Amino acid sequence: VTPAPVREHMRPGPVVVRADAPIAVAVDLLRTRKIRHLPVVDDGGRLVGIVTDRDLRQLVFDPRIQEALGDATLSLAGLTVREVMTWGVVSVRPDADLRAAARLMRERKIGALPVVEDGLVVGILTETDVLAAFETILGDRVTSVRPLDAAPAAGEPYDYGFALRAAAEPEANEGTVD
Amino acid sequence: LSPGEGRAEARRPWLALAAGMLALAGCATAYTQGQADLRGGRPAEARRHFEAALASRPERLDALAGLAVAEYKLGAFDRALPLFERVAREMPRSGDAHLYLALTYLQTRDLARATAAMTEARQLGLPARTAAQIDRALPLLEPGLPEAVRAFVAASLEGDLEWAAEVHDARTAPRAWLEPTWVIHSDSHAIYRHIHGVP
Repeated sequence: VTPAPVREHMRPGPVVVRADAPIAVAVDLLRTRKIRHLPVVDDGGRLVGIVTDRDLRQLVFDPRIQEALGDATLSLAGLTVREVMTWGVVSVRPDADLRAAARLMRERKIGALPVVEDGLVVGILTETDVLAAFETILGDRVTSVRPLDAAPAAGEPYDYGFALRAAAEPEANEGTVD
Repeated sequence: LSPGEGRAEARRPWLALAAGMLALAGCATAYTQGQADLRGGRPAEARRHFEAALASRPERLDALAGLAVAEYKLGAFDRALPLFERVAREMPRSGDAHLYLALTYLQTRDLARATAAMTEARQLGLPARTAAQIDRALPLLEPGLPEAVRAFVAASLEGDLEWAAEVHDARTAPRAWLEPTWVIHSDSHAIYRHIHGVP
């Protein structure tokens, strides 16, 4: 595989969420944008973590987490993204080699890598992007896309296994950084 | 019969029934434990439990499929392959079984069979996202496939299968944990009160 910088294959200007946003906002962004990974930034747009649909599913369904929350009257809607996100997120630079990024994703079982330059999130590299990049890079060796009977349903929202909707509109916390 | 012997005689059918139920419960427990181990990322323990379930009831396809997945996750592809081949043969409409079979062929570098099994899986009932990822992966499976690409495709599609299983588990979890319409809440009793208007 010919070396290729991540910059050429990432999605620039990804949707991000602020750490102090209610988690309902993150849920709404995941659903409406049909994404599974949401980089979390601070007030200055710097990457501080990542929140995924898996984090939220665990939050809603894991009995241990439910038990840890303790107070039966505590509403999860009162939590912020900061309280559920993964800290110490693995990221790559735009000039990193795509193969190295792909290896990192495979070995660490990471579905998406935020692409960071000078602390700011400038893109995101997902498994889908890597597969598309391999197809581009392999070029002539990829002969054709085989005809298939059924196509994935376009425009349908992803089913994350839970049905959460935000009480508030997300516009105040939604943004892109590039 | 003495009174004591009569009571013992009367208990016999119940004891046999209880023993039978215990045996069935033991099998179900081993299978359930295997599933929990798989979900928890403990394939070695999962293999042991699925083997125990199959020792009691060798015809259980679900336990066989679980054992195949455990072997796959342990990297024992030569052991996983005949298991997945049997599961796919006996469950011809299972997209998961055919996709895992394809991934096992991919791990053993049998690209032709991997392509055939993946194409078969694509025609079956898989989540839209997984189907779309297969569409992206299939054109890559050509002779001379670089090792890095092969490994990434296998890991990515395996991750998709795990994601789909998690979503399925969550969707079929007790409805009490789901919030009613617009609020995420940790208290199922509060949700019940909210839904039913109980103060």
